[in-house]
Amino acid sequence: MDDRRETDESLVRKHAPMSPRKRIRIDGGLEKADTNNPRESHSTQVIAAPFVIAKAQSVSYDTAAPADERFNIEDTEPYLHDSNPTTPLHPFLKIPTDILQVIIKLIDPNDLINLSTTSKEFRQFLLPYIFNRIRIEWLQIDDDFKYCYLVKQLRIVDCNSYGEWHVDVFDKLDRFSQLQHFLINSSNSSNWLKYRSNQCMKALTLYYDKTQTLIVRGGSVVRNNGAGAVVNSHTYAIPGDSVHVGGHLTGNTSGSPRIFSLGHVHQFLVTSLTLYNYHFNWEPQDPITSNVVNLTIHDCTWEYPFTISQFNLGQHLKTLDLCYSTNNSFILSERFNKFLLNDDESTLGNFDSLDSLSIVFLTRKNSWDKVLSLKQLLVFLSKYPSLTSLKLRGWSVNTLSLMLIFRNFKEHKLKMLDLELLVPKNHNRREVEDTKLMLKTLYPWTKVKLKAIES
Amino acid sequence: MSSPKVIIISSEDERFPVDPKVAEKSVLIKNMINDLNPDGLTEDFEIPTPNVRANVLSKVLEWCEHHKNTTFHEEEDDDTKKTTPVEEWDKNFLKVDQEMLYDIIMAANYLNITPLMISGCKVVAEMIKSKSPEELRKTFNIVNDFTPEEEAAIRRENEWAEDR
Repeated sequence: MDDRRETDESLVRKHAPMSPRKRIRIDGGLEKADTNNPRESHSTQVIAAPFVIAKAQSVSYDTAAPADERFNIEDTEPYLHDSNPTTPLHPFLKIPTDILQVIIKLIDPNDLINLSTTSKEFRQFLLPYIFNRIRIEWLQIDDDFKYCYLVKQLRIVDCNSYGEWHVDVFDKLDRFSQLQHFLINSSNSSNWLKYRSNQCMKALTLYYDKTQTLIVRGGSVVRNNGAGAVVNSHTYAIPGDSVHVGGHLTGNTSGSPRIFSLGHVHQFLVTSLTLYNYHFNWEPQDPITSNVVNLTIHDCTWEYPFTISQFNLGQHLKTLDLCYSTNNSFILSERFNKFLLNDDESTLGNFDSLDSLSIVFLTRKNSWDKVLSLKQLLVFLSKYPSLTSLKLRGWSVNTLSLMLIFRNFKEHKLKMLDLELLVPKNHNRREVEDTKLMLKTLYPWTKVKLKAIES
Repeated sequence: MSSPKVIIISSEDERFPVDPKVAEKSVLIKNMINDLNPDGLTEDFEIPTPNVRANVLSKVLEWCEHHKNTTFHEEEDDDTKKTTPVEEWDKNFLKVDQEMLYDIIMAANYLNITPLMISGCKVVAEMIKSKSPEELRKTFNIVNDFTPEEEAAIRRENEWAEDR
């Protein structure tokens, strides 16, 4: 959140120095700005920020601006030239950025898009918020889009094997000068990424949403938009069986595992990696280097000799989030159990650098309940020595065992503990609060979140 | 002798004496009092809030007075925040004109009264949610200054925006 604000502001500052006159006018709702108060002067600045972009067409630019600045504000908003500068700003547009961010989190993206469609003033004010995250199809990657400079996150919505193997998408991302996060819908293994590289992007997400698969019908391609309606899209033929990788036919191989190997992304410098539904594989001859700081894996499985700790060969890993949804039997496997006990035979990597661990089982199935045992918590607290945040969902622990566990670990460093607490049916709300209070007395430095689950 | 008061002074220099318990709903004021009076208040304590107008300050203090005995639980995460509705009293309290609503939110933000700020934001969010651009124009009193061509172009642009 702060990151986004800072960049938007610096972008504005770079192009349009703020005039004090404007600042006073925009700040009208708050009366005199208290310049001694950093919080207030900050919000004054950010109220002004989007507005200054709106008025920037009247500012003449320094022609000696660095050549790598890829956009010119004058090109971006043709209809602003006729906006009347004397009209008072709509009160909504006086809301400072930090508050607007709170409101945006409470509504759906489509609500914000609709709000930005109401008037020129609203459009201009909300542009950075609606186009900081965009969605495109593989074959739209070259299409004209005038707000490339606002894009921080880009998602490819359709699975397209041809695109993966024949369109070097990473070569085409230069025009998105602020892009940080790239999400790709892919139905296949991540093998194709071996032949791609990118040194700028910070975050990469590989997911699979089969409702967005391209379907070829009668020579033209139609897209199932996931809502049941079929929309005409680019006319384009997938050269189906001409694509071979390592002797295996790739295509929409639903049912067979989608393979991910660290070797596939060795030409990327991403620090944040999110993977959905992959099977991790590793052959000892595969190159592995990893700069990953934040790793999130959803419904992923792996096999010997791969271990999750291989993601941390470079000792950069700070947060590790694992999430398993409905009926994923992998969590009962020996592989997963070895990971939980940090007992993998491999000596490749460890979790010494890990700050934050989250293991979430979305569906609670009584027969699969992982009861948070003394032994298991001992592993988390002793074998992950830097751990300051632990979140476990779908595990169960009752008040008695929780207290027993924590009386035994006096010297943990946890600043955040987020657990589900198993309580009897028709429990008293006090029980959860009392447990919280007891933990708080024992460990004043630990923030405890307990969610009551009725047994 | 009556117990010491906290006197909050608006931008127009209007003085609002309140009980410390009421004033301390503002984390900003609470910290200020604690930092400057580590042994507790022994006399009246003045706090100027030059960013907040009297009419807004009086509304904010009305909220603090009503909630002086309320314990607010930290809301868990963004999802919980999104789904928990605004409390009925707050909803009625925030039935004010839009400019006042925004001013209350901004004052609550400045004074660091998170539950009031969040309630205000939720009320604004409710005004935006699930409405067409035309309905939004009515709600927020916005004049449509797009030509039909511009509006069509904007709808095409909107297809690029992430919708989830």
